[in-house]
Amino acid sequence: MTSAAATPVMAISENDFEQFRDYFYRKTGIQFESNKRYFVDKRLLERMRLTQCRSFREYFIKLRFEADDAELQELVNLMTVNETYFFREAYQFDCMVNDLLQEVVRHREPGSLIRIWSIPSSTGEEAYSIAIYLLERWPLLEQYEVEILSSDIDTKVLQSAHRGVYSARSVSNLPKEYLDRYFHPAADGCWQLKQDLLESVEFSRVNLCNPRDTQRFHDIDVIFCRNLLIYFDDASRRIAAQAMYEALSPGGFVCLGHSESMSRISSLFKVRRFPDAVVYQKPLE
Amino acid sequence: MGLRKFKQTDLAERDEAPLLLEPNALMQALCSAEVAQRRHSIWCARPCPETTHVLLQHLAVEKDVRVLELLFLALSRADGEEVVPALLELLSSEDVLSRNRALEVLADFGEQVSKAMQQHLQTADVDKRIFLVNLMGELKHPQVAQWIQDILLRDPHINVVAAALEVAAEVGDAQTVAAIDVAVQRFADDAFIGFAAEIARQRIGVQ
Repeated sequence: MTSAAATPVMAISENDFEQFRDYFYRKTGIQFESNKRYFVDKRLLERMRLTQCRSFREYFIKLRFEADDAELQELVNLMTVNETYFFREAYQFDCMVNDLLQEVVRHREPGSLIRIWSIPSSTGEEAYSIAIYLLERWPLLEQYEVEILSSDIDTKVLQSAHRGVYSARSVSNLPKEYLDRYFHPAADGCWQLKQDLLESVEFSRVNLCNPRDTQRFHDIDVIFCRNLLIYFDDASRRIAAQAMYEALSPGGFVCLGHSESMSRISSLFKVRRFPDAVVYQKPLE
Repeated sequence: MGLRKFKQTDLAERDEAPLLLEPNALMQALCSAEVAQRRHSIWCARPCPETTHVLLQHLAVEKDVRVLELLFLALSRADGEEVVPALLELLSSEDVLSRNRALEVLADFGEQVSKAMQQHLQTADVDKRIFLVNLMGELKHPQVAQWIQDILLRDPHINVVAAALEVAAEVGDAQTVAAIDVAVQRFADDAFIGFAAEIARQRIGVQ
């Protein structure tokens, strides 16, 4: 008589969690507190099952030694929340209109050009949010010419950004008066951006890790690069940081996602703490 | 004034071809007194063996951290056969930034580093052996566990062994545990070695 083989019981011990947490923080800058145990354990066990690892140790060694970081990328995708909408992390837009642009124009004549770059553009919510913020909340807008550039490596999302049609969920953070001012109601409860705003952003296909693509971006005053670098490996993060440094005017600013840090990637940027946000600045020469 | 308007139905295309600097032009541009000019020339350099050679030569004389950071990045994307020997030598440098950047770049060249590792581990320079152990901690190479075991079994310096215990905690296996036990015996009087060994055993999964 044979007995069925026992299925190994997989569990994440406290020790395992700490080891994973330290490693994941080193690789991505994302820190998990103890109250995230359930969230992390569930996803780790899922990946262990899918990679047919019988223990956390086995899975961790696989993760650690994998040449192409594919499994780490799977984990990053699982562990990070992936959505975009209008006025997401709006405190950084507040920082832009309250502080960053004031510093930028301190050294500029009225009438001069100010350039803002949003990358990745995804389906356009961030770039159009910047436009709305400038129109509504920056009193000096009419004194300067402001160019909003937005780029993504994915041409499908760029096409969607061009069309400017958004779900009710995507616009739910907008004050009603802004919704009425900048959108038409569209089919199926969606909202269509008005033509004037559609024309206020230039979209382009760019791979931030390819210097041939980013070379044409220069004299940029503010870059929004939020929740992109967490998806990169260390080498790509370094390239992206250098690309942004090259693109920026002296004194220009970079806004990253709330869990991201430039200090861990490049020592060239100065950390600037403003009342609304912490940002990174290319030093004035 | 206000927001600039763009009339476009298609995605914006490049309005000029990207600049690709040949090695001779790169060498000249690297002589510029302007940091921005030296950076830009590295950024636009055409990747090829001659470019790598120019960059390695310049690494020996460049002092500005803004250029050095980009220089190391460019080298990290070059052929490891040329780059690795030069960067391994840099681990003996007094300059902390250069050493740290060299370690970062070397971590991506597992195969080429592995060929040189044994030879460089023979160095009498204790600090350099510690840096090499730190490098092992970042390398994705199947021989890492073996190198760590060798250090635990034989390296005469306590600080090198302590660094190896830290790496062992992450990459060690059952064979490493045996080497950890030997290290503890070799440095029986040192409480920190005992403590670090215990952490390593726990992480490996052996109490």
